[in-house]
Amino acid sequence: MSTHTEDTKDIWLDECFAAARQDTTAAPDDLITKILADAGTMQQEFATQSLVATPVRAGLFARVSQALGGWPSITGLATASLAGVWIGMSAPAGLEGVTQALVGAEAVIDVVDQYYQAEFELAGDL
Amino acid sequence: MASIEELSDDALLVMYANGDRDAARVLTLRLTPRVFNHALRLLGDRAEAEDVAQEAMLRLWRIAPDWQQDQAKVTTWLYRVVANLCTDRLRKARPVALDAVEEPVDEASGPVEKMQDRIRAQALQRALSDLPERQRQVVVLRNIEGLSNPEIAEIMEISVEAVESLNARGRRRLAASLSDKREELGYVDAH
Repeated sequence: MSTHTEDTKDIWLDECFAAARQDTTAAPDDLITKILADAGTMQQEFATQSLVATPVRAGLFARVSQALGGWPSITGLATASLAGVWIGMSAPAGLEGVTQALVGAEAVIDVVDQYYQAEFELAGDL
Repeated sequence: MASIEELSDDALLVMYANGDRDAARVLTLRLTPRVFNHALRLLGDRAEAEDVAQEAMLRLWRIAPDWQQDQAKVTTWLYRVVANLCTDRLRKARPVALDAVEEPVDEASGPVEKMQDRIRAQALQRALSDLPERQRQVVVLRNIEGLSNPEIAEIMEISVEAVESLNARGRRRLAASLSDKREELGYVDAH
Protein backbone atom coordinates (compact mmCIF):
# COMPACT_ATOMS: atom_id res chain seq x y z
CA MET A 1 0.00 0.00 0.00
CA SER A 2 1.44 3.30 -1.03
CA THR A 3 1.56 6.53 0.82
CA HIS A 4 0.54 9.72 -0.89
CA THR A 5 3.16 12.28 -0.20
CA GLU A 6 2.56 13.79 -3.65
CA ASP A 7 -0.49 15.54 -2.27
CA THR A 8 1.29 17.44 0.47
CA LYS A 9 4.70 17.43 2.07
CA ASP A 10 3.20 16.28 5.37
CA ILE A 11 5.03 13.01 5.81
CA TRP A 12 3.91 12.91 9.42
CA LEU A 13 0.31 12.96 8.17
CA ASP A 14 1.03 9.93 5.99
CA GLU A 15 2.39 8.21 9.07
CA CYS A 16 -0.90 8.91 10.80
CA PHE A 17 -2.72 7.35 7.85
CA ALA A 18 -0.41 4.35 8.00
CA ALA A 19 -1.21 3.99 11.69
CA ALA A 20 -4.93 4.19 10.90
CA ARG A 21 -4.56 1.47 8.25
CA GLN A 22 -3.05 -0.85 10.82
CA ASP A 23 -5.60 0.06 13.45
CA THR A 24 -8.52 -1.97 12.20
CA THR A 25 -11.39 -3.14 14.35
CA ALA A 26 -12.47 -6.74 14.13
CA ALA A 27 -15.97 -7.17 12.82
CA PRO A 28 -18.10 -8.34 15.77
CA ASP A 29 -19.13 -11.98 15.76
CA ASP A 30 -22.82 -11.15 16.03
CA LEU A 31 -22.53 -8.95 12.95
CA ILE A 32 -21.00 -11.84 11.03
CA THR A 33 -23.79 -14.10 12.30
CA LYS A 34 -26.48 -11.65 11.18
CA ILE A 35 -24.92 -11.21 7.75
CA LEU A 36 -24.66 -14.97 7.25
CA ALA A 37 -28.30 -15.33 8.31
CA ASP A 38 -29.29 -12.67 5.75
CA ALA A 39 -27.30 -14.53 3.11
CA GLY A 40 -29.14 -17.76 3.90
CA THR A 41 -32.54 -16.06 3.84
CA MET A 42 -31.83 -14.49 0.46
CA GLN A 43 -30.65 -17.80 -0.97
CA GLN A 44 -33.93 -19.40 0.10
CA GLU A 45 -35.82 -16.59 -1.60
CA PHE A 46 -33.84 -17.11 -4.80
CA ALA A 47 -34.67 -20.82 -4.72
CA THR A 48 -38.38 -20.12 -4.20
CA GLN A 49 -38.45 -17.49 -6.94
CA SER A 50 -36.74 -19.78 -9.42
CA LEU A 51 -39.27 -22.55 -8.70
CA VAL A 52 -42.17 -20.17 -9.30
CA ALA A 53 -40.66 -18.38 -12.24
CA THR A 54 -39.26 -21.36 -14.19
CA PRO A 55 -41.50 -21.57 -17.27
CA VAL A 56 -42.59 -25.07 -18.32
CA ARG A 57 -41.65 -25.43 -21.95
CA ALA A 58 -44.85 -25.82 -23.92
CA GLY A 59 -45.27 -28.71 -26.37
CA LEU A 60 -45.69 -28.27 -30.12
CA PHE A 61 -49.48 -28.55 -30.02
CA ALA A 62 -49.71 -26.05 -27.17
CA ARG A 63 -47.47 -23.59 -28.99
CA VAL A 64 -49.47 -23.94 -32.27
CA SER A 65 -52.70 -23.58 -30.33
CA GLN A 66 -51.35 -20.48 -28.63
CA ALA A 67 -50.23 -19.03 -31.97
CA LEU A 68 -53.69 -19.52 -33.43
CA GLY A 69 -55.40 -17.84 -30.53
CA GLY A 70 -56.11 -20.59 -28.06
CA TRP A 71 -58.95 -23.07 -27.70
CA PRO A 72 -61.78 -20.88 -29.08
CA SER A 73 -59.91 -20.43 -32.36
CA ILE A 74 -59.04 -24.13 -32.55
CA THR A 75 -62.70 -25.06 -32.03
CA GLY A 76 -63.86 -22.68 -34.76
CA LEU A 77 -61.18 -23.93 -37.14
CA ALA A 78 -62.15 -27.55 -36.53
CA THR A 79 -65.85 -26.81 -37.11
CA ALA A 80 -65.12 -24.99 -40.37
CA SER A 81 -62.90 -27.87 -41.55
CA LEU A 82 -65.58 -30.47 -40.80
CA ALA A 83 -68.21 -28.40 -42.58
CA GLY A 84 -65.97 -28.16 -45.65
CA VAL A 85 -65.45 -31.89 -45.72
CA TRP A 86 -69.17 -32.51 -45.33
CA ILE A 87 -70.02 -30.09 -48.15
CA GLY A 88 -67.45 -31.77 -50.39
CA MET A 89 -68.74 -35.27 -49.62
CA SER A 90 -72.42 -34.54 -50.06
CA ALA A 91 -72.91 -31.38 -52.02
CA PRO A 92 -76.45 -30.15 -51.54
CA ALA A 93 -78.61 -30.09 -54.68
CA GLY A 94 -79.06 -26.33 -54.45
CA LEU A 95 -75.34 -25.74 -54.44
CA GLU A 96 -74.92 -27.34 -57.88
CA GLY A 97 -77.22 -24.70 -59.37
CA VAL A 98 -75.23 -21.96 -57.77
CA THR A 99 -71.99 -23.37 -59.19
CA GLN A 100 -73.45 -23.58 -62.69
CA ALA A 101 -74.72 -20.05 -62.48
CA LEU A 102 -71.29 -18.79 -61.49
CA VAL A 103 -68.94 -20.69 -63.81
CA GLY A 104 -71.32 -21.98 -66.49
CA ALA A 105 -72.51 -25.51 -67.11
CA GLU A 106 -69.79 -26.36 -69.65
CA ALA A 107 -66.98 -24.52 -68.04
CA VAL A 108 -63.66 -26.26 -67.86
CA ILE A 109 -61.57 -25.35 -64.94
CA ASP A 110 -57.87 -25.57 -65.60
CA VAL A 111 -56.17 -26.84 -62.52
CA VAL A 112 -52.77 -26.45 -64.26
CA ASP A 113 -51.69 -23.24 -65.90
CA GLN A 114 -51.80 -23.36 -69.73
CA TYR A 115 -48.09 -22.58 -70.00
CA TYR A 116 -47.03 -25.38 -67.72
CA GLN A 117 -49.45 -27.77 -69.44
CA ALA A 118 -47.70 -27.04 -72.78
CA GLU A 119 -44.36 -27.72 -71.12
CA PHE A 120 -45.63 -31.05 -69.81
CA GLU A 121 -46.83 -32.04 -73.27
CA LEU A 122 -43.46 -31.12 -74.78
CA ALA A 123 -41.68 -33.16 -72.16
CA GLY A 124 -43.96 -36.09 -72.88
CA ASP A 125 -43.06 -35.94 -76.57
CA LEU A 126 -39.36 -36.30 -75.88
CA MET B 1 -7.52 -27.02 -8.12
CA ALA B 2 -7.97 -23.68 -6.35
CA SER B 3 -9.64 -23.71 -2.97
CA ILE B 4 -12.78 -21.65 -2.55
CA GLU B 5 -10.89 -19.07 -0.48
CA GLU B 6 -8.73 -18.29 -3.51
CA LEU B 7 -11.63 -17.51 -5.82
CA SER B 8 -12.41 -13.93 -6.83
CA ASP B 9 -15.27 -12.00 -5.29
CA ASP B 10 -17.09 -12.12 -8.63
CA ALA B 11 -16.85 -15.87 -8.90
CA LEU B 12 -17.97 -16.34 -5.31
CA LEU B 13 -20.94 -14.07 -5.86
CA VAL B 14 -22.08 -16.14 -8.82
CA MET B 15 -21.69 -19.29 -6.74
CA TYR B 16 -23.65 -17.66 -3.94
CA ALA B 17 -26.48 -16.78 -6.32
CA ASN B 18 -26.56 -20.43 -7.35
CA GLY B 19 -27.11 -21.51 -3.76
CA ASP B 20 -23.57 -22.22 -2.59
CA ARG B 21 -23.40 -21.67 1.18
CA ASP B 22 -19.63 -21.86 1.38
CA ALA B 23 -19.42 -18.96 -1.06
CA ALA B 24 -21.63 -16.93 1.28
CA ARG B 25 -19.37 -17.74 4.20
CA VAL B 26 -16.14 -16.86 2.37
CA LEU B 27 -17.57 -13.60 1.02
CA THR B 28 -18.90 -12.64 4.45
CA LEU B 29 -15.59 -13.27 6.19
CA ARG B 30 -13.64 -11.56 3.43
CA LEU B 31 -15.76 -8.46 2.89
CA THR B 32 -17.43 -7.70 6.21
CA PRO B 33 -14.28 -6.48 8.03
CA ARG B 34 -13.51 -4.12 5.16
CA VAL B 35 -17.06 -2.83 4.92
CA PHE B 36 -17.39 -2.48 8.67
CA ASN B 37 -14.09 -0.64 9.12
CA HIS B 38 -14.80 1.68 6.23
CA ALA B 39 -18.21 2.55 7.68
CA LEU B 40 -16.62 3.00 11.09
CA ARG B 41 -14.08 5.46 9.68
CA LEU B 42 -16.76 7.43 7.89
CA LEU B 43 -19.27 7.45 10.74
CA GLY B 44 -17.11 7.19 13.85
CA ASP B 45 -19.85 5.19 15.52
CA ARG B 46 -19.63 1.46 16.04
CA ALA B 47 -23.34 0.68 16.23
CA GLU B 48 -24.07 2.74 13.13
CA ALA B 49 -21.16 1.13 11.32
CA GLU B 50 -22.53 -2.33 12.14
CA ASP B 51 -25.93 -1.38 10.75
CA VAL B 52 -24.38 0.00 7.58
CA ALA B 53 -22.21 -3.08 7.13
CA GLN B 54 -25.20 -5.39 7.51
CA GLU B 55 -27.30 -3.34 5.10
CA ALA B 56 -24.51 -3.11 2.52
CA MET B 57 -23.97 -6.87 2.62
CA LEU B 58 -27.71 -7.48 2.37
CA ARG B 59 -27.78 -5.35 -0.78
CA LEU B 60 -24.92 -7.41 -2.14
CA TRP B 61 -26.84 -10.64 -1.53
CA ARG B 62 -29.89 -9.15 -3.22
CA ILE B 63 -28.04 -8.10 -6.33
CA ALA B 64 -26.12 -11.38 -6.65
CA PRO B 65 -28.44 -13.09 -9.20
CA ASP B 66 -28.22 -10.04 -11.47
CA TRP B 67 -24.51 -9.38 -10.94
CA GLN B 68 -22.67 -8.75 -14.19
CA GLN B 69 -19.04 -9.67 -13.83
CA ASP B 70 -17.86 -7.09 -16.32
CA GLN B 71 -19.57 -4.09 -14.73
CA ALA B 72 -17.47 -3.30 -11.65
CA LYS B 73 -15.42 -4.88 -8.92
CA VAL B 74 -17.49 -6.16 -6.02
CA THR B 75 -15.45 -4.07 -3.60
CA THR B 76 -15.91 -0.92 -5.69
CA TRP B 77 -19.66 -1.53 -5.71
CA LEU B 78 -19.62 -2.14 -1.94
CA TYR B 79 -17.63 1.01 -1.20
CA ARG B 80 -20.20 2.98 -3.16
CA VAL B 81 -23.08 1.43 -1.24
CA VAL B 82 -21.34 2.09 2.07
CA ALA B 83 -20.62 5.68 1.04
CA ASN B 84 -24.27 6.26 0.16
CA LEU B 85 -25.55 4.63 3.32
CA CYS B 86 -23.14 6.63 5.46
CA THR B 87 -24.09 9.85 3.69
CA ASP B 88 -27.77 9.18 4.43
CA ARG B 89 -27.00 8.57 8.09
CA LEU B 90 -24.70 11.55 8.45
CA ARG B 91 -27.36 13.84 7.02
CA LYS B 92 -29.99 12.54 9.40
CA ALA B 93 -27.79 12.16 12.45
CA ARG B 94 -26.95 14.62 15.12
CA PRO B 95 -23.30 15.73 15.29
CA VAL B 96 -21.13 13.16 17.00
CA ALA B 97 -19.28 14.43 20.01
CA LEU B 98 -15.57 13.92 19.70
CA ASP B 99 -15.47 11.92 22.90
CA ALA B 100 -18.04 9.55 21.45
CA VAL B 101 -15.76 8.51 18.59
CA GLU B 102 -15.21 4.84 18.94
CA GLU B 103 -11.80 3.76 20.03
CA PRO B 104 -10.61 0.75 18.10
CA VAL B 105 -10.00 -2.38 20.08
CA ASP B 106 -6.35 -3.03 20.64
CA GLU B 107 -5.63 -6.66 21.23
CA ALA B 108 -1.87 -6.29 21.45
CA SER B 109 -0.56 -4.18 24.27
CA GLY B 110 3.11 -3.64 24.62
CA PRO B 111 5.59 -1.75 22.52
CA VAL B 112 5.64 2.01 22.75
CA GLU B 113 5.43 2.25 18.96
CA LYS B 114 2.12 0.45 18.96
CA MET B 115 0.76 2.74 21.60
CA GLN B 116 1.96 5.69 19.56
CA ASP B 117 0.26 4.32 16.47
CA ARG B 118 -2.95 3.92 18.44
CA ILE B 119 -2.81 7.51 19.57
CA ARG B 120 -2.15 8.70 16.02
CA ALA B 121 -4.96 6.61 14.58
CA GLN B 122 -7.41 7.88 17.18
CA ALA B 123 -6.39 11.49 16.68
CA LEU B 124 -6.74 11.07 12.94
CA GLN B 125 -10.18 9.51 13.36
CA ARG B 126 -11.33 12.46 15.43
CA ALA B 127 -9.95 14.92 12.88
CA LEU B 128 -11.62 12.96 10.06
CA SER B 129 -14.96 13.34 11.82
CA ASP B 130 -14.62 17.10 11.42
CA LEU B 131 -14.09 16.98 7.65
CA PRO B 132 -16.96 17.67 5.28
CA GLU B 133 -18.52 14.40 4.26
CA ARG B 134 -17.22 14.23 0.65
CA GLN B 135 -13.69 15.18 1.67
CA ARG B 136 -13.78 12.57 4.40
CA GLN B 137 -14.87 9.86 1.99
CA VAL B 138 -12.14 10.69 -0.50
CA VAL B 139 -9.43 11.02 2.14
CA VAL B 140 -10.34 7.69 3.72
CA LEU B 141 -10.61 5.84 0.40
CA ARG B 142 -7.35 7.31 -0.90
CA ASN B 143 -5.12 7.44 2.14
CA ILE B 144 -6.38 4.63 4.35
CA GLU B 145 -8.08 2.15 2.02
CA GLY B 146 -5.36 2.79 -0.56
CA LEU B 147 -7.60 3.02 -3.62
CA SER B 148 -6.53 4.81 -6.79
CA ASN B 149 -8.05 8.10 -7.88
CA PRO B 150 -9.92 6.50 -10.83
CA GLU B 151 -11.39 3.87 -8.51
CA ILE B 152 -12.55 6.54 -6.09
CA ALA B 153 -13.99 8.55 -8.98
CA GLU B 154 -15.99 5.48 -10.00
CA ILE B 155 -17.19 4.85 -6.45
CA MET B 156 -18.25 8.44 -5.85
CA GLU B 157 -19.38 9.05 -9.41
CA ILE B 158 -17.28 12.16 -9.81
CA SER B 159 -14.31 13.08 -12.01
CA VAL B 160 -10.73 12.13 -11.19
CA GLU B 161 -9.93 15.84 -10.98
CA ALA B 162 -12.64 16.28 -8.36
CA VAL B 163 -11.15 13.39 -6.38
CA GLU B 164 -7.72 14.99 -6.48
CA SER B 165 -9.14 18.31 -5.38
CA LEU B 166 -11.18 16.85 -2.52
CA ASN B 167 -8.20 14.80 -1.36
CA ALA B 168 -5.83 17.76 -1.41
CA ARG B 169 -8.29 19.96 0.49
CA GLY B 170 -9.05 17.20 2.97
CA ARG B 171 -5.39 16.58 3.66
CA ARG B 172 -4.69 20.28 4.14
CA ARG B 173 -7.55 20.52 6.57
CA LEU B 174 -6.42 17.44 8.48
CA ALA B 175 -2.88 18.77 8.66
CA ALA B 176 -4.14 22.07 10.03
CA SER B 177 -6.38 20.28 12.50
CA LEU B 178 -3.65 17.97 13.76
CA SER B 179 -0.73 20.37 13.61
CA ASP B 180 -1.15 21.59 17.18
CA LYS B 181 -1.20 17.97 18.38
CA ARG B 182 2.07 17.00 16.73
CA GLU B 183 3.91 16.81 20.00
CA GLU B 184 1.47 14.40 21.59
CA LEU B 185 1.50 12.40 18.36
CA GLY B 186 5.26 11.98 18.72
CA TYR B 187 6.39 14.50 16.10
CA VAL B 188 8.45 16.81 18.24
CA ASP B 189 11.05 17.20 15.48
CA ALA B 190 8.62 17.50 12.66
CA HIS B 191 9.05 21.22 12.00
